[in-house]
Amino acid sequence: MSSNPFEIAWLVPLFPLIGFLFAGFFGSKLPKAVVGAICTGVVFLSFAVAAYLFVIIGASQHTAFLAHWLTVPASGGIPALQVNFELLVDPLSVLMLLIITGVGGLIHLYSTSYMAAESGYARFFTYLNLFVFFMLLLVLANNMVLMFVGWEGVGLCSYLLIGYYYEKKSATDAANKAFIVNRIGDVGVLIGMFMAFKYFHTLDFYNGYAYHQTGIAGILNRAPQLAGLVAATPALSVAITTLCIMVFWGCTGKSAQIPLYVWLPDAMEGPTPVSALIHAATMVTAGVYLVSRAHSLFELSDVAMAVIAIIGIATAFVAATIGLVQNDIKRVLAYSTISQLGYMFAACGVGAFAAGMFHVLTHAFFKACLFLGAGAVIHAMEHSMHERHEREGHGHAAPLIEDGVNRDDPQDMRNMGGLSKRLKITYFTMLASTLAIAGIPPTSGFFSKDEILFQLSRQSWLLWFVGAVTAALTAFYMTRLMYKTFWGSPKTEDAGHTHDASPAMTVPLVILGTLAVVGGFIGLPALFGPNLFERFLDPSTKPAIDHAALTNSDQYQLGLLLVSIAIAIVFVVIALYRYKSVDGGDLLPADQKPKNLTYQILLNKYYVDDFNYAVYVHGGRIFAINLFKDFEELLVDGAVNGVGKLARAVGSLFKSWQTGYVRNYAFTMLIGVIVVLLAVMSSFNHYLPHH
Amino acid sequence: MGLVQAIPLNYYLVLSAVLFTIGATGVLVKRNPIVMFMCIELMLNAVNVTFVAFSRYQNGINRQSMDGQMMVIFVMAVAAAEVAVGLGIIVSIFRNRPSINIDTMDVLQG
Repeated sequence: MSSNPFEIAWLVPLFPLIGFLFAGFFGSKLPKAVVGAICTGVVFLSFAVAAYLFVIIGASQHTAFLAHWLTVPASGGIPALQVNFELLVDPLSVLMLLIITGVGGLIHLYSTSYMAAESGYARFFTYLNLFVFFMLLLVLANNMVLMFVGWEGVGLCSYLLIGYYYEKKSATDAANKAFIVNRIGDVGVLIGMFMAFKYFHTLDFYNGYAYHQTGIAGILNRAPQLAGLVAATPALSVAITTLCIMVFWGCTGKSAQIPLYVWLPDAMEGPTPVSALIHAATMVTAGVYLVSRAHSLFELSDVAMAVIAIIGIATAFVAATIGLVQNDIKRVLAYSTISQLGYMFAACGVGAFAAGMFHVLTHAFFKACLFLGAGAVIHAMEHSMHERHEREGHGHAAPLIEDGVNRDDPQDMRNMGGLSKRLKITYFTMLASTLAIAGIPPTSGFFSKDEILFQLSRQSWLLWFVGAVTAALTAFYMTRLMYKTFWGSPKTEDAGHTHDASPAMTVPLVILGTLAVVGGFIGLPALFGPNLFERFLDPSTKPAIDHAALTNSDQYQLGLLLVSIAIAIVFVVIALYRYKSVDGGDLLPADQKPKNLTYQILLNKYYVDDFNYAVYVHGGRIFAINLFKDFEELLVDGAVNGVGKLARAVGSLFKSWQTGYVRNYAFTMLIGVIVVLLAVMSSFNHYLPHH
Repeated sequence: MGLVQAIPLNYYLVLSAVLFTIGATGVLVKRNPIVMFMCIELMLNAVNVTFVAFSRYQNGINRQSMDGQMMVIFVMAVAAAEVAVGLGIIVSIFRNRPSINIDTMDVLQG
């Protein structure tokens, strides 16, 4: 091994790969405890390596060449393509490594208890380790192709894990939906890759092994030097903008932004730890990571940056409004995730990549904690319902429906209430995370969200205003979630019989809950001195146009800070007051609900799913049926059958010649022989001797 | 010079042509497959006469090439095999049908 200490980065994805192979081949034959321990252990081993890399990384950037991969020689004016297995180790990728392996390891630990009763235990951990492997590959890759392998790999694992309960139709449907919507986005990444190769003649992010051989600079080394050329050449400017928007299109699929966000709420069909790991903490942040990674490319196009900011903030707002009225505890969190991802993109769109990544980090803490907490609640509700069924002795009877609510649904918040007295640890950790996501100081969410709002305000007051309104909605719907779940009186008998979870589940909750509270101090706003987090990430994400140069007065920052605090506290209090003042936990009386237009629109998620179904699914089906009738049956079958009919028609013309009489055939033969003889003799006439 | 050399080649060819024509006409007009076979034999033997005549005419009495005669032996052997197969077919037809009249066998018409 060479002297480059950063080459050990290849160990980080290696451990989960070993865990995946082990659990995949031997998992079903081994005790669950062994499988769980090994699969969890490998992720923590990766975390240890990542932590070592974090200690030695400083402000440096390294590439670790592992092997050659694709070598295509130049031909016909197309430049040579060289793609290597090469890892990129810099502060940004190390940060992502820590999030993935750290939060991922805790979620693995939680799953050992949460999934203990499942028969597909080994299968679950196989997929989970494979996911961690692909995710690490995604963030470590030094070229777009290897990144894309990880990108597709996490999509595959997401599909497999959403469809984990494959005997449930809704789960397989949700898995298909997630996969198909992601594929639609992936087309954009592919086109972006093609365009990047056309304009940069390489797919490497930064100068690495290939650079020393060919001298073609990596995309992100080259991009900052192009600013002048792009400004002077409209055609190039359009091309770069298209490239960026194509890559961002892929990000909207992976990171659930408008218009491709529809898969994420349905993805909640998967087991809850999956929602925490893949659909909150890691995979869905891949888009934010990619934009931050390629920030010098995106900064070449003001249009693309504006698109990212607008899509981001619009997604944040729309998802938050839908989250206000959902009743499924996981769906509220899903829309909340979409909304928070919108914040991250909005931050990237205004050039505050470090702020976006800071929110990725804090969001990983508090949202993972919220999902795991929700999992603990669901687990407790399930147990309680199961015990009731045992007592009453109708295990598989039809679900109990009361007031339009399925009383046997462990995820419906209308069945909960008053759980704070019974699930104490879950309650306190979720409370901490709720304060964080609502933006109550001094939790992590407060600092990261405030940083984003501050950066938005520098770009445009409109962006700031929508962001602030979204923050208010966030505070409201999270308080609503907490109220319906933990406060008030138990709405069902089941809610009154719940028990707190096992230590394997509560330990990750406590760690994540603690981080959700204190994690923000690594990125204190500039008001209180240098932002350590931003300084750490600067080598990777320092924008070309240094916004720090546009100094804002302390009063300005302090003012915004106070406004953020006021918004968060006021809306938490409003929500508490409103929900305390009504009986039954619903703001709208049941008879008002069908009549209230706003409520119906939000409850039906702006009818986007219905629209997609009507236009794309149903429309696609009609298109396919017409294609079948007009193209397949008429054209293809017509051609095939036509050939047969033609042969038959020609045959019937000549079939009367076949009389069946031997003498006819003999006579025809004789005539033929005579004709041939005459022809031969006439042409060879001059050979015959002349008398 | 024997008698054979005294007769010009044309005589043999005319005889052969006459035999061949009789044979061909017989194949076309007769209904009895046995007779048709006999006519075919006639045609084959007309050709045999030609073979032998040409061989003799070209080589002369003292030359030892027997190509034409060899070909005649081949034709006879093949003709015998053909008759064996043909008669077998005819016997088989006779077992399945009331007659072997060739004009009643027209099931292969289009």
